[in-house]
Amino acid sequence: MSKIFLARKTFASIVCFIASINLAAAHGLAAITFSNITIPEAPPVASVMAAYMHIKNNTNAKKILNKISSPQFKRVEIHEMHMTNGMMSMKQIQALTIKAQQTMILKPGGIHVMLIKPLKPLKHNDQVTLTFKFASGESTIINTRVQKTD
Amino acid sequence: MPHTNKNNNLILIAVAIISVVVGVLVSQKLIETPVKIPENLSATLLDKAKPLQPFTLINHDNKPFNLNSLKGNWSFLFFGYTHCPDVCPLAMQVMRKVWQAAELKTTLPPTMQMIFVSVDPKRDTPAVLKAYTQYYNPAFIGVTGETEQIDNITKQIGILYGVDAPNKNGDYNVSHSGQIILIDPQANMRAVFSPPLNPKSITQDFIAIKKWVEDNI
Repeated sequence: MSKIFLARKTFASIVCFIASINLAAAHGLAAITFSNITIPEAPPVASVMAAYMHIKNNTNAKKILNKISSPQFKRVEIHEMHMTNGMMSMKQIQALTIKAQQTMILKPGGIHVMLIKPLKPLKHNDQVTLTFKFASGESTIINTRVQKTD
Repeated sequence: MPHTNKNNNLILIAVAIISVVVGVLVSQKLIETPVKIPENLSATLLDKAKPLQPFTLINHDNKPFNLNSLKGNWSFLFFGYTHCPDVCPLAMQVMRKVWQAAELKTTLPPTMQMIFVSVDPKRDTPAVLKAYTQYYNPAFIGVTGETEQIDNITKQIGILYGVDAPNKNGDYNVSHSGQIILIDPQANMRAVFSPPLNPKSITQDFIAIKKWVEDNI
């Protein structure tokens, strides 16, 4: 009795597991994962905000992130800070390549997502939707919230 | 009579010797006592205080901001622009933390001012600067001016900046130094805090530098 029960349970678990893999693959969820997403609150007059995050490429092929959009902002770009002649300079990156099985870390003072011209000033806890489009066709929608800074 | 003269001479010699000894001791004491330069600073302390020369800017209320505005307070200056998404907000957050930390120290009277100097006067009007600085702390001061006026103070302090060519959308970035500059209450440049800016070490360094300067006056 208990053996049959265990066998059924195991079978059910395997079915669920396979189903979840298929589901993930079908939706492209497992290919690229986003974590540690932060959009710090900015002064109400700020015409730009920054978003930081970790982008993990779980596949064995490189992924090229070439477009980000958000309904809350006029434009979204990828920028990188670098030191030139003793000055902090910012340069737009047209596409961000994430190597196979690598995590790209977007952080203050490095690469960041630049959110340009909010349609209305955003404050702590306001929702921001970001759509990331990759050259290989994947697209990921992330819903996050503006966070208060200390 | 000659006997008295001899005595007087002896007294004079004794006084002279005592004066020299006392003089030597006092001067040695003066040389030794001056307070040691604070050690283990993250900040770059200037070998000699650098007095700033007169300059003219305007503050976020459209009022003059000049050399006198720096006198009487320890000033922290950061040079940036409000369209900056990353470096400037981080520096402002650091200044807010330093401000809050220093406020908590009972030994520290409120003789500080936090100043954000915009090197992008075209977009950063006094009204924009006011909203920007007040967001971080109502006591913070936004300052800007004509390009030549800004260049006067940036050149004195050694701050670099450059305005990039606008892109197809008409937006432009401004490259700029990332340091916070410390000015003493006599308007002398004293120290430079370089990135990565750490509010804890800036606060500790500031307290040490302030004490060192005050003990040496």
